[in-house]
Amino acid sequence: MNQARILVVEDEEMTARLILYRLKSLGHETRHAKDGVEGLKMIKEFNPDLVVLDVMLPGKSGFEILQELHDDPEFESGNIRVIMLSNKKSVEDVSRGFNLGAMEYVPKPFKMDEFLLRLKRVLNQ
Amino acid sequence: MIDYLNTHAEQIVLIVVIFLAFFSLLVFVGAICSRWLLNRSEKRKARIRSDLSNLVIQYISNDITFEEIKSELTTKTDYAILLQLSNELGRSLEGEEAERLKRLMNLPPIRSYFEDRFESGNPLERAKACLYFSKKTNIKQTLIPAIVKQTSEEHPMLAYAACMVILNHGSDEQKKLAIENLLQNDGLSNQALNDIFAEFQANSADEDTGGAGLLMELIEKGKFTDHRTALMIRTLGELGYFQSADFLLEKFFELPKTGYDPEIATALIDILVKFGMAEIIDRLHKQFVQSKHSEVREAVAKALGIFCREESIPFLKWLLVDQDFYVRFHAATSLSNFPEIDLRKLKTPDMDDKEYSELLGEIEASKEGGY
Repeated sequence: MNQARILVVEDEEMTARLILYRLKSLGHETRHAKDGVEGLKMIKEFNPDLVVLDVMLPGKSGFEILQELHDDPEFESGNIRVIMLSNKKSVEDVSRGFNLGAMEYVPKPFKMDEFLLRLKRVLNQ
Repeated sequence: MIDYLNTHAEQIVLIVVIFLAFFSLLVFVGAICSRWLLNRSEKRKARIRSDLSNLVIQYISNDITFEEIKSELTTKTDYAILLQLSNELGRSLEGEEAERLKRLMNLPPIRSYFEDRFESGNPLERAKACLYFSKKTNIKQTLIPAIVKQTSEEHPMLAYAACMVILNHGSDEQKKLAIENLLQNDGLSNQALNDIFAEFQANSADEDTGGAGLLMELIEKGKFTDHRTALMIRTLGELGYFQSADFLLEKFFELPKTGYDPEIATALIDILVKFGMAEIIDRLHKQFVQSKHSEVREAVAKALGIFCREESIPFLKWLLVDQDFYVRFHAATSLSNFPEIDLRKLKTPDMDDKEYSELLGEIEASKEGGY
């Protein structure tokens, strides 16, 4: 997928800005949500191809967002690819993310090139 | 005098009214001016931050060169904001981008700006300087003794930042001293201390003599508050120091029958359960199930469900009628781990129907959510 619609749900301003900058320079259409509540709303409105979702968010956690999307009968959660981004590295958290439908789990700190490579792989799946 | 007041009453009232009106106007104008100045300064800072963050992002993405960004950094205000931005990004990045960020923060004018700040009388400024030093690969060794002293400062942010510097640049003895000083700082949050221990663990080459060894030594000294001791016990578990299991077991059996600190007892139970130390079950059954502290009974209710031994079932049933809701909730959750137990049949006549069905609903929901 050359040009995708990507939503970044991340409360850390600089991390979000850097990801958005790199995604824009690759030609993707991007949006940003700073908290969980706004993130959930934008997923439904913007209908992105891919969501870069932080786990620890104010308002609603990344896990809660995925659970709500999963439980929403009106929403086709299967159409959205999700990459989770988190400081949490425990096996439980990673498996919880995958069980809720995430396709990648990127622990922080991360290497930007590696992150973009994973993102590309998920977009091409 | 009275005659004078009677004659000039109207003028006096007028003067007072004019004075009050003038005074109110002055206050009003003052408030507007200070708000305006504050807004202007905030807007200026936001603009600098936005411009700088664009520059930093372009620089670490390799879209502008080191020389280009260097020529853009001019005022001293930039450096404090730059440190903030660098810290924010540094938490998320590693590899090439993190290295570029480090190179930027190593610029001589930035270095001397923070070295000057370290001499400041303001503890917050000194804390900023320490945060800067903690991110650097090397610092002047002559600074270290002065930084160790800062770890015993009352200002929590300063003590924390100074300790971070020592963990990255100090000797083993200095690290121990810095952590001991920090543990005596009541203003410091548990989260900050957890960060310190995590940093210490990351910097320890030898696991046995490193984090676990230090924490056990500090607990053994027994000179800290019960709250801090409980935190150190939890840290041993959270950082996965399994080599401390026997030590913690010893501490658990050393707890007196009465008069123990509930926070320490709860921490010991939680962590020993995490380490799978089934030796504690017998004492949980015999003593702690009847603890006068609800948090201890709650920890017992959780623990018995994790070990899931058949002999614990009567004790969990006992906790199911506890006076505290959370103890009842965790006892019910633990009982639901036993396949032969049907929670609906365990309801006794003295239990509230509505509350019990709500409790069962909560357990079902928490199990479905994978919590």
